[in-house]
Amino acid sequence: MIHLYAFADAGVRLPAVGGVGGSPLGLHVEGDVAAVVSSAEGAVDRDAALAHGRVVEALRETAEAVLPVRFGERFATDGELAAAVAARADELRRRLDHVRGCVEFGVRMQPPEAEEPSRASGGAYLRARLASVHRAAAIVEQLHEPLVRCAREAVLTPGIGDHAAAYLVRHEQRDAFERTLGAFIAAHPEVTVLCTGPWAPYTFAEAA
Amino acid sequence: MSILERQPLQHDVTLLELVDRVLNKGVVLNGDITLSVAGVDLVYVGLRVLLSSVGTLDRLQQEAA
Repeated sequence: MIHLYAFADAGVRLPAVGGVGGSPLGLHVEGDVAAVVSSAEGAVDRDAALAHGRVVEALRETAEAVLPVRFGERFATDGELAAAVAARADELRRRLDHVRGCVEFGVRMQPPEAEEPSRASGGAYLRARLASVHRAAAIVEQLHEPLVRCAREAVLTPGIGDHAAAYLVRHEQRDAFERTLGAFIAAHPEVTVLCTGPWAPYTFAEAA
Repeated sequence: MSILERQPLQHDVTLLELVDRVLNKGVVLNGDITLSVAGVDLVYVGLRVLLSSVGTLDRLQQEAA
C-alpha cells in the first residue's frame, strides 16, 4: 500500500524525516505536481496520524507550496495513485498556486462567561440574553475582521468553543497578523484567545 | 515573547490542533474512505477542557497579580 501525505511542486526537495512506521519518503510526479508518498507501514493509529502531520509540517518548511492530504488516503498500486491524481491534476495545480508562499494560523476565542440573567421576569430574562448574544457577536467581529484584512483567505471552523477560524496568511503579512492579534489580546483581557501556527494550509487545501 | 507562545498549554493545544487538521482537513481523493483512529473523540473533549483550563489559569494569574 502507498500512503499519501501531500502535494507539492514537481521539483520539491524532500525533507529529511521518516513517514508512517518510519518508512522513507518518495515522490510520485504527475506532470508538474508531485505527490509525496511512502509505503504504508504500521498500524493506522494516533502515532501514524502524528507521523503524517510531521511530514506535512516538514514540507511546509522546505517547500514553497504544499497541499496537505487528509490522513488515511492509501492506494494499492502506483497505477491507482496515478489515476486518482490525474483526475484532479488541474485543480491541484491551481490550489498549489493559491497557497503558495502562505501559511495557516488557527484562532479560537472564548468570550467571558456571561452572568446568568435573573429568571424573575421572562421579558427581562430574554432581553438580557439577547444583549449577551449581541456582545459576544460584537467581540467576535472585533477579533475576526482585522485578521481577515491580514489574510489571503479566511474560513470559520465552527465546532469547538464560541469562535474558531483559520487564516491563510502570506509570509510577508505574518508580522501584521501577529501584531493585529496581539493588539486584540491586549485590548480584551477578559477573553481567552488561542492561536496556533504556522501550519501547512490544511484548511485551505480544498477549494471552498 | 511571541504572542504565539504566551500560553503555557500551547504545546498540548498545538498537538490537539495538529491531530484535528490531519484527520479532518486536507485534500480528499477517495471521499468514501473512512478510517477509525483510536482516540479521535478524545481530541474534541480534550480541547474543550484545555480551553477552559487556559481561562481558569488566566483568572488565577490576574488574581495573583
